Amino acid sequence: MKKNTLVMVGGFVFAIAIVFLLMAATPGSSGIELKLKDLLENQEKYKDDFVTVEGLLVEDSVKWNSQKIQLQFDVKDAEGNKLHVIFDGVKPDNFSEGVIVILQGHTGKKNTFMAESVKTRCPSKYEGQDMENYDPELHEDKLNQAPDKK
Amino acid sequence: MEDFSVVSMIFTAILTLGCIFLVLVPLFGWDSYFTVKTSNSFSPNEKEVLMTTLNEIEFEYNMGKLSKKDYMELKKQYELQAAAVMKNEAGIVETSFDQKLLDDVEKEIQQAMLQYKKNKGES
Amino acid sequence: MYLVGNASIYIGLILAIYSTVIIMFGIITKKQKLVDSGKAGVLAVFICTLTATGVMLYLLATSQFQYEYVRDYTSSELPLLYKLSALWAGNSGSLLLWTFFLTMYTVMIAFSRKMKGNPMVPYISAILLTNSIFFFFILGFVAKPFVLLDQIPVEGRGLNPMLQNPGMIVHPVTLYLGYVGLAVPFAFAMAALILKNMDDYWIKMTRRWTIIAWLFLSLGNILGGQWAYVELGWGGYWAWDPVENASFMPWLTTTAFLHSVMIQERKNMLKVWNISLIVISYALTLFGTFLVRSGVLTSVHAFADSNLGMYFLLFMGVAVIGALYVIMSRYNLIKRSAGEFQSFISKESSFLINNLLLVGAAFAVFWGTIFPLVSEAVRGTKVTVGIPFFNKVEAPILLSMMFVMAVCPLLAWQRSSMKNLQKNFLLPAFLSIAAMTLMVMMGLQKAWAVIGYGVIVFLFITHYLEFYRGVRARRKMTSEMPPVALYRLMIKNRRRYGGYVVHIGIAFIAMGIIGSQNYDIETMKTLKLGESLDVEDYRITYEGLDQRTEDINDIVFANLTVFKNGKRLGVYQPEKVFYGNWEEPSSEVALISSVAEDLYIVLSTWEEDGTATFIVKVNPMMNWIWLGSILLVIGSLFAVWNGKYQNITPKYTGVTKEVA
Repeated sequence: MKKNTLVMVGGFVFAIAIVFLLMAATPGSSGIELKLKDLLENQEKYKDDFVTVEGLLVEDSVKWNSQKIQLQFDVKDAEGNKLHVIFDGVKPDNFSEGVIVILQGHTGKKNTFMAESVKTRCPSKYEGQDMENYDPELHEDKLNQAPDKK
Repeated sequence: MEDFSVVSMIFTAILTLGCIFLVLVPLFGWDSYFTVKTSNSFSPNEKEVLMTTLNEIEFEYNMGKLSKKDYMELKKQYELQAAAVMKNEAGIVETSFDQKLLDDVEKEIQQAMLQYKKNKGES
Repeated sequence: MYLVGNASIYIGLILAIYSTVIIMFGIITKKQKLVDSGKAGVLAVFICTLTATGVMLYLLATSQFQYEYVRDYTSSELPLLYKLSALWAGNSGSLLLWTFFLTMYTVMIAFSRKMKGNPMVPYISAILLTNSIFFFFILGFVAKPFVLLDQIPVEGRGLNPMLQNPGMIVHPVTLYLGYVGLAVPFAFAMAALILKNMDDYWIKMTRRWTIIAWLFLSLGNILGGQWAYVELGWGGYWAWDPVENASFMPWLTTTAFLHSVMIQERKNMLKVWNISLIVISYALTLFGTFLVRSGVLTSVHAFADSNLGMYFLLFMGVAVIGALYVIMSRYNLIKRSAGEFQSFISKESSFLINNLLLVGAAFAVFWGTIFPLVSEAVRGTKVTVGIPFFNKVEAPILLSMMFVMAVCPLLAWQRSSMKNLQKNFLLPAFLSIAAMTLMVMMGLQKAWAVIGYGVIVFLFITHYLEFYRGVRARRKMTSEMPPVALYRLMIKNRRRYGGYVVHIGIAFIAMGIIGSQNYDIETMKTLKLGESLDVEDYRITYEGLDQRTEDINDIVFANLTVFKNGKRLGVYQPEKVFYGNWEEPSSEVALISSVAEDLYIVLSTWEEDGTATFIVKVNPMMNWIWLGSILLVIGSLFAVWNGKYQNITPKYTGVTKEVA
């Protein structure tokens, strides 16, 4: 057999190995993204999943325990569904009423969510006004800023 | 709200005219017919390429990356190619390798290599 | 100025179309003067973007808030430098900058001395002009930079404070230079295919431009990481965010191209592969822009659902289909006269493995980035893959990459015998195993870290030996003094030794990454006044909380006395800045940096009673990343500096009949 052909075969095997690596790594480190409503309705079903969920912050509900470094708050969606969140970490910088909160973590007891990370999406009145003129890169920070707990 | 001030109108006019001028000038110039000039797209002659190859092989042998056997084999191969090229240059057309001629060519290659290295060292 | 700004964009659009058409027409009718007119058009187009950019900078600098863009991204109290840097804070401004760089590159090529008289120039110009047409179209009709407001606002909305950082001035510019730079090799590739001519000169020019784009892309990524590290207060520098991935993918494929093109140069192989890599890299820059600006991916970036991204996707589609058509129509040509592999143990096969790894790594990033989209389309639920996925997949790929990099200098072109390889392998392998043993004995437990460091030690040794043996071999042939020999050796083979310097830089970066990813320590604690907190060898005492005012911003800061092993290092002040014209505060970290590690302190929150919560991180070996980056820049500059094109590249023809 020509060496070129052999090399081609080798390369092919190699490519398959990488795809295999991908397939193997995907399930273990993936999670699902849900609407707040779907999560509340099917809490049982998703209890083993790593869930990403979004909601609006209810500012009155924020309770901050500085000694335990634990944050508790409620998020709601437009239809008024409420979810209670417990997070062992500090408040993100702009934690005010109506901010969109992106939560990642696992579901806990009925209507509670044990968050592993809490990030906020910019509610800034500045960007809100004219979204079409808005630069996404401007918000690179928002993602990273959230205290990423391990 | 639009400030169509005189200054900005003048600026715009200059920009427009300047650009049109730039683009039009070559059209009224003397038309040299489109010729494919490859002067800068250099193509090194085969001999020089073979010399560099031989040089690199020697270098890699000296660095211990090639075994003696491989080195000799490769060297032989490219020297033969170089010999063929040089023979063509000399205008000798011969189908079989004459041993004496081969030795001559070998010497010539050695000389060319030395010359090549000298040039490379100086340049 | 409104008139000038807008006029320059529309004139630019018209001129770009005119020049493209006239160049094509000139090529078809073989009339030099038409082509010349088109080339003058290239210059004129550049003058237009120059004017537009100049006008925009002028408006930003003089705070003319009647312009929407100026109002949206600046305010009057901003320092001049940041007013100007607002040029790339928004969509239309950054696209203007992009167009500016694109036309600048086009002029540089069309009027390049080295390319004078080269028949490829008109083709390259036409292809790059087509790109400019797209951008002018966007600027003229989709994201207009010069839009007047109905009323003149008293004050602008200000620049996001996160962007008010020296890193943010340079980072986007370098990234754009890299992104745009990849259009150049693409144009070269297409021109070569259309002309059916891929000679050595073509390879050299393309490589040179690719290295330049690659350098800017690397710098852009590194500076972005550096900015994130000092400015964002989460203690990391890379989050596998879609935005970051968008610039990492073309970096990987470009790196692959830079290596595999050497095989083409010497052995006349892999032409289709190389062209594909160029096309893919270019397409990835457009695809990345599509991802970043379209809003198809749900992320905290809060992408606007603007249709701008769609235009990029469309343009990418056109470019890729066009490129595929050209490749297909020339396929027989580029396939012909291909060289052959002669030995499995050779430099070319190591390059091949390196290529597979790099492209594999790029594919993995791509997969992870678009996975939520794919899963939503297929199964209906958005499945997200996070940072662990990327780390899990990329770590082994990039580690094997490092290994190939380490072995590569031991190999010769065309063939290396096993015996020689073993001989060369022995010493570095022995030393790196010794080093790994030492690391384990010193208490390094993590397998990945130990293996990683072992490979890097291996790499350092083989690269050192490469320099050492190179000098020795040169002395054998020329009998120069060692320093002279080293100097001559390096400047005679700029590309090779520049490349090795880049490798060493990458190794330093890898050391930093392995150290900071595996051995970082994070604690969070709420302290009362006078209380202390211990991390590693550090003791941090909370002395008090205070407040000061700077311009329109209020700054709350904590006084912390830091001791290391009982020795007082000084007082450090992590801050929280509340901006006068920005809703959201930001954290200024206190950073104590040394060769071994960084101590990273963030002031999180505080209470009425004076207690405050701190996040403290110890990140080992961070400085190695920045050091490696500097080496990377030096190495790439060394490789492209004053490159002589008349240098002849050795060719390997494979086994000839005379020998066989």
